[in-house]
Parts: sequence; C-alpha cells; structure tokens
Amino acid sequence: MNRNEILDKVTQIFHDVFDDDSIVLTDETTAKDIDDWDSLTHITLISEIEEAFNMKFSMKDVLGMKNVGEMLDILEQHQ
Amino acid sequence: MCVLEEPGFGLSSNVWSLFSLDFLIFLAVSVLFFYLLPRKMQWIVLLIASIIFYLFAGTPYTIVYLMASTLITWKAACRISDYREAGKENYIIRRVYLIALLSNILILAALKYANFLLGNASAIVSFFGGTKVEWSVSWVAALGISYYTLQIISYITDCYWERIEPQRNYAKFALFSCFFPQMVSGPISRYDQLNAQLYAQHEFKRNNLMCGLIRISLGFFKKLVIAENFNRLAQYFFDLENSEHTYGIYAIVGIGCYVIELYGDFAGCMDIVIGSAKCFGINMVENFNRPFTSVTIQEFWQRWHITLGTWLKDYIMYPLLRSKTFQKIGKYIKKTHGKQFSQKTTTYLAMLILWFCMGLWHGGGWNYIAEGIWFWLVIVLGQITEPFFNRVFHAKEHTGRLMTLFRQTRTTCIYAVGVVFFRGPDLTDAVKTICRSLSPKNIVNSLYEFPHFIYIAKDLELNDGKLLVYLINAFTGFAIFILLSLWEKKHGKLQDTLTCHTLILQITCILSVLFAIAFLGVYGSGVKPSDFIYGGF
Repeated sequence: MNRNEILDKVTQIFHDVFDDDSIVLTDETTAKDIDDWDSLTHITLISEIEEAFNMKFSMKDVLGMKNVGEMLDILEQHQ
Repeated sequence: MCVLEEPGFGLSSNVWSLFSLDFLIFLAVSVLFFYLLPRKMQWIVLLIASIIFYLFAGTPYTIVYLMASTLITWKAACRISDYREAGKENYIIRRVYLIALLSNILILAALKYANFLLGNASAIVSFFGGTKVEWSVSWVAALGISYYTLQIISYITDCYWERIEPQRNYAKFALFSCFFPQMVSGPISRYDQLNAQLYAQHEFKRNNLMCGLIRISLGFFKKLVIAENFNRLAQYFFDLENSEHTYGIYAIVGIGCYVIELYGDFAGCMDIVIGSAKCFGINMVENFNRPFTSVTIQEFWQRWHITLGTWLKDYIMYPLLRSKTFQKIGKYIKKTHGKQFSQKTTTYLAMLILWFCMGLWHGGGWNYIAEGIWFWLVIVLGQITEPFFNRVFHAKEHTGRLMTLFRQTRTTCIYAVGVVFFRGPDLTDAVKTICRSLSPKNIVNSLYEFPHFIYIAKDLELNDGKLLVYLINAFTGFAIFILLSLWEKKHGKLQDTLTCHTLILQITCILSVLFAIAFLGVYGSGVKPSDFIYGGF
C-alpha cells in the first residue's frame, strides 16, 4: 500500500469517527483543525486505525504524533 | 485602603513560603550566584538552592523520602535503558519499571493517604465488629510530594515507553525532581520540556529578569489583593451561613468568593513560580489559560491546572484504554451491544478512574473523591445528552455572545459545586451546604435579608469593621484583573509585550503593580495570609 492509498483509508476512518465526510486530510492536519478531535476521540481514532491496518501503535506513537503526516509515516513503516 | 493592622512589613509568618519576603531574598541571592559563577556551574547553583529551599521550607528530614524516590527512579531508568541495549526480554524491563512505579506510589500512599486508608479500615472494622476502633498515624508528608511524585512517575514511564533517554547523572536528575520554584505547587513538568533548559548555560538577559519580576509582581497582586480579600469575604459569608441566619444565599455568595479566592491563590502562585524560573532564563509550562472563559466543564479542566489534567490523561486514561483488560471489556460489550456503545462505555469507565484519581490526588478524603466523581458525572451526562439537545434546541447554531456567556456562567456554576466538595471539611458538610444553598425557600427568604448583610454581620459581632474595606478592595482588585485579562487577550501576556519596551516602562509597570498592592492588598505584620491552598498537596 503506498502513502496515497494509506491516506485514503485513514481519511475514510476519519469520516466515520467524526461523522463528517467533508474532512480533507493533509500531512499538516492536526487536532486543532478538526472540531471534535479531542483526547477521547483521539483514542477511538487510534483504535479504529489499528483495527483497519491490523497493527498496534506504541504509547510513544500515541502521545508523540504531532500531525496526520507523522501518523502516515508510522503506518508506512508498518507496511 | 490597605489593611495594615500593625506597623512593619511582615508579609508572612510562614518562613520560606513562596509568598514570603524571605523567599524573595532567597531568590535574589540564587539569581546573583547563578549569573556570577561560571556558566557550567549554573545547574549546580540551582541544585544547591533547591536543596536549601527544601530543607527550610518543609520538614528537613522528609528530604529522605525525596532522595529515596529519586534514587530508585534514577537507577531504574538507567537499568531499563541498559537492559534494552543488551537485548533483554521485555518482561524483565517491565519488572524494573513496575518496581520503580510501585515504590513511588507506595511512598506517596504511605505518607499522604495512610490516615484515609486507616480511617476507612477502622470504620469497616467498627461496623462489623460492633466496637469503635480508631487507627491513625502521624507521619509528616514530604513537601510537594504529590507534585514531584507525578513528575518522577512521568519520567520513568516516558523512559519505559522510549519517549526519552534516561539522565545518567543522578545530581542532574535530582535537580529535575526538586527544582525549587515548582516544589510547592507545581506545575507538574515533563522531563523533555525542562531538561535542556535546566542543564543549559544561560547568559544574563535583562529581559528575562524583568519579565520574571513583572510576572512575580502580578502573582503577588493576585494573591494579596484578589485571593486575600476574597478569602476574608468568603469567611464572613460562611460565618453568616453558620449563624442562626442559616440562609442559602450566604453560602452561594461565600462559594462564589471562594472560587475567586481559589483562582487568585493558585494562579498567583503559578505566576510567582513561572516568574521565578524566568529570572534564571527557564521557561516553565503554563498551568492556567483563562479557565472561566470555558463553555464546557471539559474545556474548563483543559484550562485549569493544565499540567495535572494532561498528566492524568497521558499516564492514567490512555494506558487504561489501551490495556488488555479494557480491550477485553470493549470486545465483550461490542459483541452484545455494538461498536459505538462499546467505545463509549470503555471511555466513560476510563474517565471514571481518571476523575477518581483526580479527586484522590487533591487529598485523602471522600469529599475530594466526590468532587472528582461530580465532574465525571457532568461530563458523561453532557456527552450522552448532547445529541438530544443539539436536535431539540439546534444548539450548534446558537453561537452568539449571549449564548457563550450563558454557557460560561453555567460552567462556572458547575465548577463551584465541585468546589463545595473540595472545600470540605468532609462529604456530609459539603452535601449539607449544597442542599441548604439550593433550597428555594432559603433563597427566597434570604433575598429580603441579603442587602443588609453588613449590618447583620455587625449585629452578630462577625464584622470587625473591615468588611466594607475588604468588599471595596476585592472588587476593585477584581475589576483591575478583568481589565488586564481583556487587554492580554488582545495584546498577549503583559510581561511578554513589555519585553520590547524600555527598562523605564518595565520598572514603571512593576511599581504600578506594587502600588496597587499597597493600596488594595491585605498584608502587614499582624495579618497572617492564608496559606497557598494548593500548597498543601
């Protein structure tokens, strides 16, 4: 799966979790850019992504990811 | 309009509190040595100053507890890193981590919660045994133990999670654990935020010093003018409430005053802490961000005591939600009730534990735990009912100023109820106060009487003639504070804005604040300022 395909899949998960199909993700997207992205939805998001990609983020990743770009980097490494 | 009861300038009888003249002198001497000695010795100056502060501000022998915690944690962190490099099994590394973690929790539990645990145990034994049993211990808790323990736990956990590299030098690690400005009331710093600054070589910059001094003077203003005046007012209203005039409105006004006092006290303390660190060129993390502008209680706790909230989220809630136990619970609920319900239930359960810990952190008492549970209840009910209210009232469309003001007031009122539990002295008293305050009959009766409260206080010999002075000073101080907050919202923090101005303007600013304190503050050799409320943790 290349980075664009990963981004598409992650975007779909974002649409489902935030119940908002208008969300457009870029590498620079952060929690501040999406209205309901708080500490609680962050964990839901992480769980959904883990399930979809059949992988597990480390606590270092969960607490350290600064934007969507870093999330994609980690997902790319797990491919 | 100052309340100088006796001649003199004794700011505090509590030597070495952050808010004493002794502390300011100590800070000045430390800053002097910090910049006069060779730069590579700066961190050593900070360490020595921190040890001196610890020995004089608290009970000296309790430094043993601090040393025990830091030694265990430092050694464990180094060992975790060594074992990882040597390729040892994960369970061995985990064992080292757990030993360090549990040691810190045990020391904290023994020193801070022993009497709470023993009290509950004796109540259970008395209940089942039929005879009254009372167990208690009289151990002295180490100064700032609740703050430094959390800081140390975050350090060892971050090492375990490979977020940071361990500090190999014990003395440097000890400085991170006991850096003196943050010892009494936090903020709860993280190693990756502070380490580079603590051990770096700082050249003297006038702006850092002036910025720090302006911040310290604002801290004194919040403490001496706002917190101290509102403390006296709150006390008057609580005394009235406890007199034969048991009317709810006094408790409501008293709690309102106490909320402002609490903010002035804690935010003032943080200003002194962050300002003191700034004098050394060290930027500490902020602990407040205009909490009373929050429109939900969840947002409030992201703006009030920020470092405690983020600590609990990162080290309690996230690990819980990602633990095997929670994932098993989640899978089980998912099978029976579906995915969304499962996610919500596990999140609410983790939040319950988080808020329980938040309450317990404030003290060993059921009133503190009730405070935490209260906030959890409000947040969970808010989330459950949100879709309904959005549908019925189209709440998302109501974003006008009036609606925002309504939501801010509602959030402050919800917080004030939590404060009743926090104030205690116990759960029964807190519940009684809430019931009395909210009784419609009491409120209606007291509305007639309330405008004459000054005379009533005088009749009951509660008013020593200064009630009006405290009232005027409190509200004048509060008005100045609101104006400053509005100005800062537009232009940024006062001390930061002034960095690009002349020294004369900076000094004028400090003198103006001191002038306001001289006129409006509560001080003097006969006046004993209330202790920092958050200093007791």
